[in-house]
Amino acid sequence: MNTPGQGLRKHLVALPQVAPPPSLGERIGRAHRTRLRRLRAGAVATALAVACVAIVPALQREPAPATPEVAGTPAIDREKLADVRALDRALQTAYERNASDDEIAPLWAARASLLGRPASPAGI
Amino acid sequence: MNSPIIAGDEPALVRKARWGDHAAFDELYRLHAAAVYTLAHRLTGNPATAEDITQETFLRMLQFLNGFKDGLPLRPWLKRVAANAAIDRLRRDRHHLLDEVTEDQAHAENGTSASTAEAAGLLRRLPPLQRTLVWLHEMEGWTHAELAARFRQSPSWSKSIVSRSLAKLRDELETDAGHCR
Repeated sequence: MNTPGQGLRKHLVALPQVAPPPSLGERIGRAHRTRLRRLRAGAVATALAVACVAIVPALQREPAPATPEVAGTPAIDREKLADVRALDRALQTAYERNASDDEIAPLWAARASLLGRPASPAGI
Repeated sequence: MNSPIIAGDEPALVRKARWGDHAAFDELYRLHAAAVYTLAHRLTGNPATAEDITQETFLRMLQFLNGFKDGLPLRPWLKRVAANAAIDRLRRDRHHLLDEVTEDQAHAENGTSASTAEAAGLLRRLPPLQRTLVWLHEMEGWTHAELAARFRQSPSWSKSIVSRSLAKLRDELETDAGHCR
């Protein structure tokens, strides 16, 4: 015999799924594509800004006297490394203040472009 | 709805969808949209709000840092995100915490049998807060401690509301059954 509680539960379990409106999937896909485009534009802008910061001082600098390179570390790599470290610090700060994806993704993209790798944020 | 896809494939689909792969997104949407939308609809009773919550949930899935961990099934995570979004709306619209039955739940599900329509109708007779607590506790397996934490209340607050709401639903179910005899 069914108790009233079981009867109620049976009714609730039997409730059918409600189909979302057909346009909803397209609406979500469109919103994601728009966000992705914004992210990519932001990443390109950040990469350009970082590149400017890295290249302009180097162009303005006097030509350095010929000195032997530190073993295995050409000068350009050291500059790149400094930029990567600056980006790492920016990322660290962003994570500490729970920054949004929109802020963080361009930093990852800029870091990846400096290292010549495809962008792939940590954790994915 | 049973998913034909194995759980291990989902993280790969999510990764592809994040980078704009339409087919991967379509597949994930096909697999989970109805479950997410249905939950949002049950909790809010409002089709437009359910759409917004479904969109919010899927966009959250597509974010790069969203808390979803590879290797775990996606469906429970999506439903948790949707339920949290519904609770946030409920808490934001404080009047819902006080109001009685709202009329915006008049949207009837199509193609339902008499008993399921009756159950859906019963559920709609509860105010939004009670409906949300009852559904999450009874059907989605949330504990009173989880509900209490999410609503920033005590577990006894949740127990009391769920218990009163269930008693009310049972009474109404019996009354309706009595009228039908």
